[in-house]
Amino acid sequence: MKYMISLLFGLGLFVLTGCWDRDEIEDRSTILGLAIDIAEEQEGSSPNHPSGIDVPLSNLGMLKVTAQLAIPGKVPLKGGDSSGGEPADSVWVVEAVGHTIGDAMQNLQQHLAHKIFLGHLKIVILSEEVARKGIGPINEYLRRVPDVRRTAWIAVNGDDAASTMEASPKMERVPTLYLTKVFEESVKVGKFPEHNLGLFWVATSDKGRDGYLPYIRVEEGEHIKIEGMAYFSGDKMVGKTEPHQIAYFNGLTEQNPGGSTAYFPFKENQGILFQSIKRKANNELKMKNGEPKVDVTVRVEGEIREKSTNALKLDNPGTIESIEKTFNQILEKEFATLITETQEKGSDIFGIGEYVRGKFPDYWDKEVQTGEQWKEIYKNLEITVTGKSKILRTGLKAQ
Amino acid sequence: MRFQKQITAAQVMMIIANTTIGVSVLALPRIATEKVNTGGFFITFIGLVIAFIGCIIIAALGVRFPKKTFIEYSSALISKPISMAIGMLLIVYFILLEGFILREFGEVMNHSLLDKTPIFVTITSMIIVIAITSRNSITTFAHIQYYYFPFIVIPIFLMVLISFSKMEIVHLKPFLGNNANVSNYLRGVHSVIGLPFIQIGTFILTIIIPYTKSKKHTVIGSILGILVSGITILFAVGVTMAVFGAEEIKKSLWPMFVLARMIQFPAEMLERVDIVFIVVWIFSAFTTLLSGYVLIAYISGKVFGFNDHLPFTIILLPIVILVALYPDNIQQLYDYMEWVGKGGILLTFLYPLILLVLSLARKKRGDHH
Repeated sequence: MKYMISLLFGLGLFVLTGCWDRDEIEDRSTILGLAIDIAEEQEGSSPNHPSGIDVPLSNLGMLKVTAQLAIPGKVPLKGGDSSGGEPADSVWVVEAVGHTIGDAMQNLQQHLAHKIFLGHLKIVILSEEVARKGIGPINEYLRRVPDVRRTAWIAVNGDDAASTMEASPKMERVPTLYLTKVFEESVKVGKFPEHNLGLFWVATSDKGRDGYLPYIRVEEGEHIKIEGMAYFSGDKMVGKTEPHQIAYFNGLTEQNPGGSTAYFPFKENQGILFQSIKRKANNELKMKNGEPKVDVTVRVEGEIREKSTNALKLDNPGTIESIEKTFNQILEKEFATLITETQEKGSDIFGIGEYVRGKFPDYWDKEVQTGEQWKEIYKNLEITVTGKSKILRTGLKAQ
Repeated sequence: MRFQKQITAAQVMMIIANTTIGVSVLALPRIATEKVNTGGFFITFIGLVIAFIGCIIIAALGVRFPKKTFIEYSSALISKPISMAIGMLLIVYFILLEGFILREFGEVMNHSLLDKTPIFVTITSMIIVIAITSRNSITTFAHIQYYYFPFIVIPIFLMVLISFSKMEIVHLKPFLGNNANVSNYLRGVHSVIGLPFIQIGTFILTIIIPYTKSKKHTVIGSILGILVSGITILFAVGVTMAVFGAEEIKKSLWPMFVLARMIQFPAEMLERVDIVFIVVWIFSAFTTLLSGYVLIAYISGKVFGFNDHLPFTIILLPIVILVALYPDNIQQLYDYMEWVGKGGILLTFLYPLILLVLSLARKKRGDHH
């Protein structure tokens, strides 16, 4: 009897291991990065539908998905193991075409032996064309897949998104990890607002706000440059800012820590390089004749890093004050330009609508209600900006 | 001595808190915001205040009859046949709730971790563990809940704390919500208090009152219990709403689950801690389901005139599994759940209230001889 019982338990050890969902790490195709383009190629044979018949398309048309897969064993663990190998060795780039993202992903699966796993997806790159046509169908897929984490980044590539997957920067063994580092470090040093996939979705969902994404470009096959912000109206990209405007956007939306620099003219031929340290923005909302009106006061604290000429001496409080005044004007002008540009395109990336909704719910319920209506109102919204800069220090040089 | 009176106020508190915090909380932000958008926080608050009142009613009844169980004193108050009939209804109602919560738990597991495991296996293994655990005495039951309490409340507060930096207060404004008219509010509150976690959370008190050390322990424990769970739930809902905003919340099936998955420890000390927070929901599902199961088994024991609840821990097993497997999919599950939950308010709030009024009016008490 005792023997039987121990046998039963012994057997149980093997039978009841609870390994229904066992996944060997070598047996899955871990996708690190995805790039989505409008397809120019024809779709090959598809496992999802008979070829040659009309299958409904999303508003994007045929899509091409380019995936960067981690090759098991080749991806170095954190820290150690720096032995040899080109960056491109640790990953494999595969592409597939489909009617929707899901369709394309399944076509991609056809190329791969192992099951696709999106749990380590670090970055999604959209081509500008995709972004301009509307990214609703892409969000739809990514939201539905439970593996995708909201800490991934999403960005727009000015030319073709697939090239980003093939770029191989020398700094990291895994190109996508380098790419995410580009964004994460820019956030840390205050050169780009924090806006990963999760936050982008929140911004797109909010009725009184629109999303924006980093706009990148690949140069010489290995440099990845942030070229500005792609801003959206609803789920369509409607425009892009210049790289220097990111700093002013950061100011308007109170992104900290500060870190962006501005080089501006002070009097004739005298340039000043100013670096922000702390930003503070204060939105004041008022109702005027039944219309909302916004006063934004942005305070920027920073230091002078460089000046272009020796003729200018920084040893006098009066000079510092007049530099501040000049910079205030520049701030105000740049803020106004940025706001006007987004107003023309109907893209409230500052989330002013959310403040209106929060502060004047009655007005919102009566006049606005939908996100589309807010975009119309935003176009003619009266926004005044006041810039206040403060120079905290000028470095170790006395003059 | 008929009962072992051993349960302390702290244990009462933890039983109520553990029971109230269940898997349904994962969907709570969505259900609360559906009707009144940003007013969801306020609606949750109202819902919890109502739960608090419900808890007080049952505690007040229990204090008047400290040696009797719910079915015993209800038959003393409104004749035996009516009490038995309502007892039967309560059993059916709680079996349905138990089954639905079990299914919800199974769905959460299948959507997140165990996508290949058949839902039958997830559900059955959970309920078998619960059935075995429920064969213990109430004192042991209290100890089990006592043990799990920190594993549920601390991680949730940790989640709240870490998410604080991502909050945007504007997402909580206007406090009363857009499109907040009275009918939307009533429907919203109705949906929230119809959620199963509140109902089992308040009713479990009827089972444990006869075993508590004294009246004082009962009253203090139940008030603290509902306060602790209320504050935890409010914080969790508030932070979820402030991070995502009403519009985004409406788009996710389990907003709080998504929040847990967004968590990153500061300075990236650990990657993928989300698994830890998913495990929390297994604990909280276990404690809620255990309370529900014990509750049904005890009421059944009394209604059908048994000496103890033990036979029912076995009889209930297949029934609960069947109920859990009945809905075809999650959409249907939430449909049934709302329907049953909303109807159940009559049973779990109105009925005890009527009993309390009767007991006060007829000056019936069971606490002195």
